[in-house]
Amino acid sequence: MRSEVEVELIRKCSTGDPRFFEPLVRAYEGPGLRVATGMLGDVDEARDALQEAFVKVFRNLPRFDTKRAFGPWFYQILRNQCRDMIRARNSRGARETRDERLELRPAGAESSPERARQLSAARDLLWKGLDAIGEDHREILVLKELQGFRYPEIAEILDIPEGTVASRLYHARRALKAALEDLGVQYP
Amino acid sequence: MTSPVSNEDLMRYLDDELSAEERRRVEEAIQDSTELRRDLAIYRSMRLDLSELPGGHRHDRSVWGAVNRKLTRPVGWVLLVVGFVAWTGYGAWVFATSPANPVEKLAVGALVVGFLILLAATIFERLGEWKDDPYRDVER
Repeated sequence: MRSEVEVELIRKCSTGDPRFFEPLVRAYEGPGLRVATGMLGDVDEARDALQEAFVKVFRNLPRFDTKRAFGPWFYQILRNQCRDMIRARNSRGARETRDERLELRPAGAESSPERARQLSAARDLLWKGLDAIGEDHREILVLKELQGFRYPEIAEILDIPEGTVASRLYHARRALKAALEDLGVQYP
Repeated sequence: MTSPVSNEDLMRYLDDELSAEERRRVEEAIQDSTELRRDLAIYRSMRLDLSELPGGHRHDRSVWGAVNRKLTRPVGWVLLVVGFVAWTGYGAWVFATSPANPVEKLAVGALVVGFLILLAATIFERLGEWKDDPYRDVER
């Protein structure tokens, strides 16, 4: 979505009219769900986080500085919402588990049952690896690898200096590699 | 002889965040170092694996409906409660100051208060059930 359109929609939403919020929700829900799913490992929890994040975004729009980009601000709120949910889940004592429903794919997406089984097993290992590396490593990997953000955007979303993004990514990738090797994955 | 390449340089190279000049320098170092080539191959392989994760493919069902409900319902509730309180208060005042027989007033008052108590109890009961309902967000 073009930033001028976003700014106009944000101005109209700031008056408290949610009708103008719909295009923003529809523009950001796809990538937002991908980020939240990567952080939470559960698509239904990710939808809840996304809904709550959009509600918080709408309520805080009157305070939003339109000179800033909307995207990174939205992802900041979504990230905080995911973190809150992870904390709540941990305090409930629930084990972090990857939802089996993540494996649901449209019919015919894989060419054979054997190929589907192999892909499913590989994804399972990756989710376990992501679960094992901790919140900080996981969130930067999700933003980079699942959503493809550039370093300046990652720095803004995570509220860290741009110069530390490469270093954080290096440590996160190393941690994931170690976690996957612990799970029996061999890299060259 | 190329200058040493840091881990951060390698990340920026992998993520296409280097200037053309820096990129050339890192590429030269990669050519000269088996270790760097191996590291790069590992990170590229991991990137490919991660890019195939299916997270978020179920976004065909928009969250807009649920978000819209959460944004608009509180306004509706506030208006309903304000209206109810205003009409109840006005009705009570008209009823209390009317010249009707006190016994009739007491009987009608008991009916109204009883009805309101039952209504409030039912609302709180339903609210409690709704909070624990795991299927409340399931759309038909």
